[in-house]
This record gives sequence, C-alpha cells and structure tokens, in this order.
Amino acid sequence: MKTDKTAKQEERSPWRTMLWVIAVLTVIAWLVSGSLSFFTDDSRENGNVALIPVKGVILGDGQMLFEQDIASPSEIIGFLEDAAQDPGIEAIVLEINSPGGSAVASEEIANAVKAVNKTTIAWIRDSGTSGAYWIASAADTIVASSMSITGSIGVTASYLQFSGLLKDYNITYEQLYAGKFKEIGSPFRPLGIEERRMFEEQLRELHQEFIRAIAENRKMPADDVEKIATGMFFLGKKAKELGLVDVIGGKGEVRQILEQKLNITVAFVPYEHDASFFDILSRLASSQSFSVGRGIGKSLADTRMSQKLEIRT
Amino acid sequence: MAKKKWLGLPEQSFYAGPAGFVKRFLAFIIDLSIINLTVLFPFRRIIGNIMPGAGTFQESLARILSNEGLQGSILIVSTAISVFVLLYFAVLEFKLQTTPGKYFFRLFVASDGKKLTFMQAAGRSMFFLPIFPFFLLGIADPLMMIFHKGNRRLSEILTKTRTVEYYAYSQSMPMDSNLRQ
Repeated sequence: MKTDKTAKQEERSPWRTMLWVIAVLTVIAWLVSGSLSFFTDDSRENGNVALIPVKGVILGDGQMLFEQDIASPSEIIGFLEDAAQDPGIEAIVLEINSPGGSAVASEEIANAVKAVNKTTIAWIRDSGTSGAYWIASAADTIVASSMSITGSIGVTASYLQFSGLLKDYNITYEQLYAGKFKEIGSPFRPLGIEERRMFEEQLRELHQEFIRAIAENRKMPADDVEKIATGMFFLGKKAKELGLVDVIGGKGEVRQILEQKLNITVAFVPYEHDASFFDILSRLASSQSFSVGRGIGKSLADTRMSQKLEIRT
Repeated sequence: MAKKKWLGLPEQSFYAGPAGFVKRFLAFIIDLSIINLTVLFPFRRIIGNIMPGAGTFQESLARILSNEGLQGSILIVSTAISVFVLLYFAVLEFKLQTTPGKYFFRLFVASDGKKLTFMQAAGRSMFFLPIFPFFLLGIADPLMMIFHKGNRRLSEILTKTRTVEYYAYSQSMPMDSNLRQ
C-alpha cells in the first residue's frame, strides 16, 4: 500500500531522472564534439584561393618509391576538380616543389590544370623541373624565386645492366621469348644497336611532345623552346630571361597578382591529403622502418640505378 | 492497481488509449527544443566551422557536393548528433516510459504485452540515423501515423510498442509501477 509521501516522491522522480539523463548526455556530447574537431575538415570554407601542393616525385598511380614524398596524379587532379567546382574558390595556386617524374602522370596533371576554368598560378619553390615544369607551364602565370631550379626540358630512361657481372660470375642468362623486341630493356644482356636506336627514337618523340606542350602552354615558338630544351636546368632569374617564368618572387607576389587581377582579398585554402588514423599509424611505422634501413633503402631506390626501365621527364 | 472499495469497485478508473496526433506532435516539438538547447548545444561550434558560410542555398550545396572532405565531415557530425538524439529518446523511454515533451502531455510509451526493453525504445527512434535504410523511416513513420487507426508509427509497429495516453475518470494521474508493462 502506497503512502502519500511515496506517491509524491514517485511523481517528482521522473523529472529528476530526466534531468540526470539530459545532463549526462550533454556532458558526453561536449566530449564527443571536442574530439570530432580532429576528424573534420573545417578550413576550406574560409578561403577563396585553393593552394594545391605538387611535392615530390611525380609517379603514376600504382608506382612505388622508397621516397616519402610522392606527387600522386589522382590526388592532385581530384583537388583541381574540387577547386574548379567549388563556387567559393576563385583561383588556384599550384605550390610546386618537385624534380619531375613520370611523363604520363605529368601530362595528366597539366591537362587537368588547363581544363580548369579559373585563374591558375604555378608557384615554384625550390625545384620545378622536367615534368613539374610541364605542369607549371599549364598555369596562367608562373612565379618562381630567382634561385628556384626550373627547366630541364628533356627525357631520360636509364636502367642498370648486369650482363658484365653475370659474365664475371659465370652465370648464363637464358633468353626465351617470342616477338623480336620482347626482351628489349632486359637488365641481363646488353642493348642491341637496333634496340638502342628504337629506344632513342621513342625518347625523341617524347621529347618533341614535351617541347610542343611547353611551346603551346607558354605561347612560345617551338623552335625557341627546342633551343633551350637540352635537359639543362635554369635558375629562376635565367628562366625568366628565357621566357620560362613570368614573375620572380614568392607567396607575396602570388597574392599580389591575384588581388590585382581578380580584385579580391586573397585567403589561401590548403588542399591537403586528409590522413586517417590508420594513415598516421602506418606513417609512424614506416618512418621508423625507413630509418632503420635508410642507407640500404636509399641506394636501392636511386632512380638512376633502378633495374626497371622507366621513362622520366 | 487503485484501491478497491468494499463493493469491489476501483476508486479510480483509467484506461490506456492511443495518443492523439496533435499531442504527439507538440510533445515531439518540445523534446526537440530541449535537445537543441542541451544535448546539441556543444555541436554548434563544429557545425559552424564545417558548414559553408554566407551564400545562396545553391552555392552552399554546390560547395558541399564539390568537396568530399566537407561531405565526410558533415556525415560524421550528423551521425554523431543523430546518435545523441536517439539516445535521448531511447534512454528516457526505457527508464521512464516517457520523455519531457511526452510527460508534459501525459503521454507514455508502452510495449505490447512485455516490459519495454532498451532495444525496443531505441528501435522506435532509429529514423534519426542518417544511414540507409533507417532514414527512410523518417518518411514512412509520419505517413503510417496519419493513416493508421491507432496513430501508430511504422517504427512502433516494428518494435511492438505504442504511445498511449491515460484517460482517467478521476483527476489524479497514477505514476504507479504497475502501469509500466
């Protein structure tokens, strides 16, 4: 049998319980919302100029290198497309610090830059050579420091050839193939005269393609570009004299150009790869492993000594 | 049960009937207001950071659609918010068979036959989750409530629960544990 006091207590308790539940949920919500800020991207809506990095060796998707910095074409092209479609972004700045890399990947990125229907500026930092310069040339304006290294309009394809070593150790290489040039570029036998001629012909074609792209992008006569397309690199100051660079300067000059051209107050929005928790973990683990095997890894990873034949701009 | 007189007739008579649509709607509004002022208050800053700023609806939508990172952020935050809203309803309905908004209108949640479990209470509010197929219940539930004879939502039918209102013949409204199934 219930007393009045018990009945009154029961009638009050729902509100007390409700308050407790709401208070606990609110406290947990504070904690969760605080931690969520680490996992959410909140920087892009505050800027109007996309800053897209092109850093490291430009490699096609699926290619690997022991180097930590790789400029991935799919990521860069994705950033370019995002920035192009974002109505809040008024211009795109490519922050380039790359020695170049894969010809195909460089061309893909350059084409994506040209396809953007907004003002683009290539800002070359320490290095913007070869394939990286191909990308830079696709932008409306190129800004580089007087000490930046740029140019190097050429194509290289090198590989280690071990036939001499095999001979020294009396190791025989048995060749079995169908198709006259199927074994071309094998590291276990010398390159034939005809094979070398074929390779060099293909490299020349690539080189011509590179020159054509630069001439078109920079609106220069192809002959003028060919004269400087010896593979030689140039410092920024010399590059400007040759017409490869438009403005000598840095981020301040980039900002000035955009503000004058577009009549806006520039606010840069860095477009970066969002590292997930597992990316961070694997990066920690790999950097540790890299430190341990650094000397061996570097010697094996030197692209000039790579066994695999790769054509690089 | 209420006290019985010597004739065996109860002092108080009451029965649980389906809650009215208007009362349920108003109770829901009150609950959402409480949630907005308390549980969701901590998320205002982060929502302000990730959502696009000034601009037309089309511009904001275009910005969101062009930015995968932004889409991911919005999904993460909206999922977190919906989980807290779900917990608000689930925990309170499980513990008290009511929420502040419902209690204001003397509405309660009852299970069909057995005692209300936490899973039943949570299942009633799954439509808050922005995940397929749960968000479809957000459309199906109110439609079902309009056309169902007992004003039951689809979620309530699926979880074998109902929102009831106690119609009493006396003024006092019992909060007896016997009433909770």
